[in-house]
Amino acid sequence: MSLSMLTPAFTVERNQDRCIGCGVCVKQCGNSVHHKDEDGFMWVIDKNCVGCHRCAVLCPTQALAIKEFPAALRPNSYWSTSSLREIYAQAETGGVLLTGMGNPRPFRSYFDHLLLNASQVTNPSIDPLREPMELGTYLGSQVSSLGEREKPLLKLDMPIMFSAMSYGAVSLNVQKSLARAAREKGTFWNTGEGGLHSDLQEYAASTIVQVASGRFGVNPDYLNQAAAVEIKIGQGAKPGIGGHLPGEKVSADVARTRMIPAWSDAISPAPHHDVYSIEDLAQLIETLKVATNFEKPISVKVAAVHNISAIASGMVRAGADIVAIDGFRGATGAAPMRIRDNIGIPIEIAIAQVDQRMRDEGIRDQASLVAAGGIRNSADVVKILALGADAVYIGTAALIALGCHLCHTCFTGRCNWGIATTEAQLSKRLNPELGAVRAANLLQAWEHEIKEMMGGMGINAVDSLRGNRLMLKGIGLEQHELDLLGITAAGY
Amino acid sequence: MKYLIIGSCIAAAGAVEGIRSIDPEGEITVIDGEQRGCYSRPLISYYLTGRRTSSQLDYRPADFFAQQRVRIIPGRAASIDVICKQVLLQDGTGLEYDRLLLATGASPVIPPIPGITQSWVNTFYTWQDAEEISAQTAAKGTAVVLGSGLIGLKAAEALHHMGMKVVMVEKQSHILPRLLSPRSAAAVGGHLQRHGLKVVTGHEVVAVGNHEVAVDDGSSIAADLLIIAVGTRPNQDLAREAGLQTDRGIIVDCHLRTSDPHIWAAGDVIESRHIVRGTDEVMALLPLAHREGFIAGLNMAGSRTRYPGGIFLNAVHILGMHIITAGDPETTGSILRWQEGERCLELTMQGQNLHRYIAINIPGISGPLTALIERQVKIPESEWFKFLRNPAIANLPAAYWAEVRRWQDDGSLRCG
Amino acid sequence: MKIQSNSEYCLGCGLCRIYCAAAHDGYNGSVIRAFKKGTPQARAGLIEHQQQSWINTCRHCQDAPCINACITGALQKNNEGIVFIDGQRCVGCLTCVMVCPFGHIQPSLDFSRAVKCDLCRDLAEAPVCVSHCPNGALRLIEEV
Repeated sequence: MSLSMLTPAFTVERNQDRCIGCGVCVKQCGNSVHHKDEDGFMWVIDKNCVGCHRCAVLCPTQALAIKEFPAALRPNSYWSTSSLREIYAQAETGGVLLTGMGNPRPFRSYFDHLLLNASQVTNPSIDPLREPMELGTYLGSQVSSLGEREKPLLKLDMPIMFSAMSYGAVSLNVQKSLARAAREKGTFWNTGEGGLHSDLQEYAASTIVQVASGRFGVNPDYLNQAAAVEIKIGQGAKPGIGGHLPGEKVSADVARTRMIPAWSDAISPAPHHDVYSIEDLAQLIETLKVATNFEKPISVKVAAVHNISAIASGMVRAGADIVAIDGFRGATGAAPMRIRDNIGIPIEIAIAQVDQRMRDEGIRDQASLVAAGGIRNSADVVKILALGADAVYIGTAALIALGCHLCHTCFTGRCNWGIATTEAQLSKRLNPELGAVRAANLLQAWEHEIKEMMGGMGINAVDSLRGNRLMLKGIGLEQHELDLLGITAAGY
Repeated sequence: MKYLIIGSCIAAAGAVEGIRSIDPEGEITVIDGEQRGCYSRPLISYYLTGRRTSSQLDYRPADFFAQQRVRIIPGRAASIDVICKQVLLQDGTGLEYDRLLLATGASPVIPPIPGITQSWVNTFYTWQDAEEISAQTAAKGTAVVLGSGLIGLKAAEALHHMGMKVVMVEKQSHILPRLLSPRSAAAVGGHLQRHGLKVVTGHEVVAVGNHEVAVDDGSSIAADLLIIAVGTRPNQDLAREAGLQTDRGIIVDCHLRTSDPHIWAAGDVIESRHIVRGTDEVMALLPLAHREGFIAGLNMAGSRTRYPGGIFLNAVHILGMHIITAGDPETTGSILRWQEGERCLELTMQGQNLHRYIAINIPGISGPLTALIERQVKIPESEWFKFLRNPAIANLPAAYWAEVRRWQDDGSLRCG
Repeated sequence: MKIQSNSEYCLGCGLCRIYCAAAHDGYNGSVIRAFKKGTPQARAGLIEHQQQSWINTCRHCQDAPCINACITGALQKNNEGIVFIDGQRCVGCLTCVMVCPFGHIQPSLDFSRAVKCDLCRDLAEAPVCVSHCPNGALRLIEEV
């Protein structure tokens, strides 16, 4: 191979006035950026740096600064630096570009073009510290005809759950952190498609288990101990493609949990090969309902794609109790970059459209709507609820709470924060006791903020916020976008 | 309950602490023969060189006995009436007791050498000795130190610091005979010589003349000061005369009780179990004295705490050299050695058991080695190799760390 | 009171020792000042053994061998159960070093005295090793 044309993405600047040569950076970098000679001389290999900031955060003297490598190419608004870098990389490797986490491209974020309402004079606002404020939410089908047994519901103390992240994609300590936080805050975490590790069975009552196209770890106990079962059709980061956990990540423990041979590739097919139509989905839903004695709500998760409202309508008619929709900002442990960055639609539009369609068809009460993919803060939660969601899944935000610095290299398995890895020496870096506290703190903080915002609007129960689009105004949006979102522009 | 303690030093302090940890009420009386309160004898060499003031010799804060509500009786005990449970002082006062502790310590041995009782001949054991030596060393002449044990060495160092020319005469073939192997003693001897101390080994002093010391090789050394440091002997006359069982020291059971059920004994005066050798030895060592005193105190106050015994252990620094050794001084096992310049380590193994170590200028690793000897942890020689390449705490054999974990798990550690 | 080290979550980063060194000997917690200007000494050791690591710090033993052994009375236990060395009294004989079964007590860098963990008793907050451990591997437990 000839000389690589790729310049480093980052450069590590060491302030020698501050560096004490303690070597914490050397020990902490799993990418071999930092080196220390026996005589104490310290040096770096910039090109290995992924910008995860582990060294900079742990450095006891703040001697390290990670900066963008100053490779100032001639400015070109069309051929950006990253497009050149991608081509250099592909010219060297001949491979598909892999990436991790969610779509980073500068598409319009509708959340940032929505404004919330507040009460002034004509109706009173509510102080959540002095008056009751209900964030409890029930997910599932709210209809039951006379004589029929009651449909199972999922009771959430707040309308926020943790997204599906499988053991294998994330470390067991991530799952432990989220499971504990979910139990403490009265909400749910989701196993993803990798099965439920035996260490996590104590959290089963706060767990949503997934059934995905690979059917990893699925058995009657797995289904019956959970609070709900979710069929994963697709995810926002990579709609239409399956998954591939490389054999080297399938450790004995991962293999046991997934119920596959150790060190074998874990391949999730692109589709469920028994679900090629809405009718097939209805059969799978019915199968799972029978397997769980009609005691568990069945959720179906799909990526937000072009005709999402028709698809969602079909899913409800197929018997889904919960429809989970993952927008195009949803994250992943590994996906082809072109897929992640170019497929799907924004969650804000998807939820507005699906909610409207279900209302129009009179089936809105047959299923709950859960929004996922790119929820960054409590205001995003309030906005998406006002657009029609019953609850949200947060994944990226939860991982950031645990230490993720969005370096987008989850697929390497060498996560310095102990998150997207199964290597023992790395995954121990996330102490689930601390992780659980941080994740629970995030939920608690958002809970307070949501109450504040609801109180300002004069709303004292999350039920009154759901689909309440009068609380939203658009700013800087075109008329057709306002129409899609079912709102009016600020000032109207 | 009336507790009476004869002696006021380390074991007595330990006993007071032991009694008070159980019995805050009982009446404690201490007979202080030296009338100097509770002070630490090893510190007298520091006192002599001025590194410590008189008050800094105190082993416990000045108000220790008052704080513990202890009555101090100055005077010396003359006899014990075990029938009436009474101690008679030399001035005739009688002190009754319910529980008695003999913490009478030891005294330096004076060898039967002609002329040894002259005024320029001193022992180096109490603060009074230090005071007397201090008064005599103004002249800055030559000092001869008889014996090269711990006390002799510290005396030699102090006198050297004070500007005297020091000659040490040791009967045995090498210095610190109870502590060091011949090879390690050679290293220490070389260190002393380099600092200008003269060391004569393998020879005895046969006579002491007028400022002159005659050695058995026919030579004689002109001296202004002669220090006798050839060992100590338990002060067990009181006990023997009272009819208690004694041998080389007072004989005690595993609860530190003497043959009389109301009398305990602790410190330099007793014979206690050497854990490694399995024999009873007089081990006149400060760390053991405090612990024995403490445990005797507990038992006097009604506890049934077992004293497991101890091992010989010594830490001494002399002219910048740190020597730490522990275990059985007479062991004859295979020797594992590490040396790097002035630093050396010598481990003596009996099979898989560590029986002794000698660490020179490498004190940091000594604690775990002492623990391994005390607990007789089995470690094959081969597991020591990594440690012997680079003797650091982190390189100790896996068996040591397993042992540490076991102490923590089963609480068998006497501490922690 | 003592510090419990959980090797399951110890990363072996050694930050505990760095902050420990800076918290003692008058450096007032400034890591840069301690290491750039002075000769700081951490009280606790970091052991890395068979892929595991942990801090080798004082257990503040109940029947502490070091207190028994101290020839000057410098080693004491305060009423919170903290075993500490009174620097004014210590003469550096290192008898305590010799009897600490954990190898925790160490000579000072100039061998003039012994140093050990004092649970940062001069500070109002938790010991600095505990408060600076990035992964919660160190805990201060109150029980004696």
